[in-house]
Amino acid sequence: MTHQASNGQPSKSGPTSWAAVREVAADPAPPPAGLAERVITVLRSTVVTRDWCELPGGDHRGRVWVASSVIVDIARAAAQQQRGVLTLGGELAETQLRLEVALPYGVNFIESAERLRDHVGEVCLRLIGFSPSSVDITVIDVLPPEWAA
Amino acid sequence: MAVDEQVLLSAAVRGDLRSFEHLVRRHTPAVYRYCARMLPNRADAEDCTQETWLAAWRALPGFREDAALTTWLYRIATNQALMMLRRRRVDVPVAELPEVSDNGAGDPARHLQRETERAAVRAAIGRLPVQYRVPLVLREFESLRYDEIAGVLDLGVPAVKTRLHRGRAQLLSLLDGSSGKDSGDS
Repeated sequence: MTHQASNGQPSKSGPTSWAAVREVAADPAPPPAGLAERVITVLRSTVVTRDWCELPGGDHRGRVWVASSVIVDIARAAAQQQRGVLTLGGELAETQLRLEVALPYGVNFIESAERLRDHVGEVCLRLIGFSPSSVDITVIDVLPPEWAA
Repeated sequence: MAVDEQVLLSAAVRGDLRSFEHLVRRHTPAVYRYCARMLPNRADAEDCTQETWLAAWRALPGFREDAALTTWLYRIATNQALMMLRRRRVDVPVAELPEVSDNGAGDPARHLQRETERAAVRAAIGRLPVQYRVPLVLREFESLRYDEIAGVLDLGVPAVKTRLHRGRAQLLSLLDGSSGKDSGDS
C-alpha cells in the first residue's frame, strides 16, 4: 500500500521501502577508471577539429559563425574570378589567408598578386563582412600564356 | 556555472577541442552516473557516455551559452540512452550498477537484505516505461528540479509532475511484486 508523504514522495510499507530507493539514489556510481581519457582519445581520433570564425554583427539576437574552410572556399572562388588565375589550394590560420595559385607565363606576378589580394578581400568583406588581415599568395605553378587571354 | 566553466564552454563552442576536453573530464562522472541508471549494464553506460560526448561536440555550435550545460548534457545523454534502448531493445533490469558500501556492517543477514532490496530497486527501475524512468531518474537520482527536468524533456512542469507521480507509484507497485500498469500520460 502506498500513499503520498508530506515531502511529495511516496512512503510505503512493504518488503522494499522507498528508503531502498533513496539508498540506490545515494550510490555515487563512479565511472570506471580512465573513462574520461578514453572518451577524449576517441574524440581526438574521430572528430575533425572545427575551426570557426565569428562574423561581425552579432548581438543579443544571435551570432553567426562560419567554418574557416568556407572562408577559404569563398576566397578560392574569388581568386578564380580573376582572369588567368587558377587557385590550387588555400588555408586560413586565425585571420591570415594563404592561397596557392598558378599564374600564366608572361604576367607580372607582383601586380597579379596585388589585384588578387584586393579582389579576395573585397569579396570576403561583401559576402561575410570579414576580410582576412593578410592574404599571402604562393605561386606554385606557371600556366601556358594563353591562360592570360 | 563557475566562471572558468563559462570560459571553457565559450571556447569549446568556437571549436576549441582542448577546452571541450576539460569539460569532458569534469562532467564525465555525472554523465556516466546518469547513463548507468538508465541502462542495464556498465558496458552500455560507458558506450552511452562516449556517444553523449561525441554528440555534444557535434551539437556545440547550436548551444546557447545562456543555457545550463548540465541540463543540455542530460538532454543529450537521455537521447543517447533512449536510442540505445530502442536499438538493442534493451529493457531489462538495471542489475549491474556499482555496489554501495556495506551499510549493514557486522550483520550479514541485514546486509543481505539491503543488497536484495537495492537489487530489487534497480530491477524495478529497469522495468519502468521510459516515459516514467527518465523523469524519475532525473528527479530522485540526479536531484534535478522540476523546471530542469522540464527543460531536459521539453515538457511543461505539470506534465513532469504527472509523470513523476505515476512513475513513483509504478515503481512502488513493481517493488511490491505486482505488475505495474501503465496508466498512460497526459
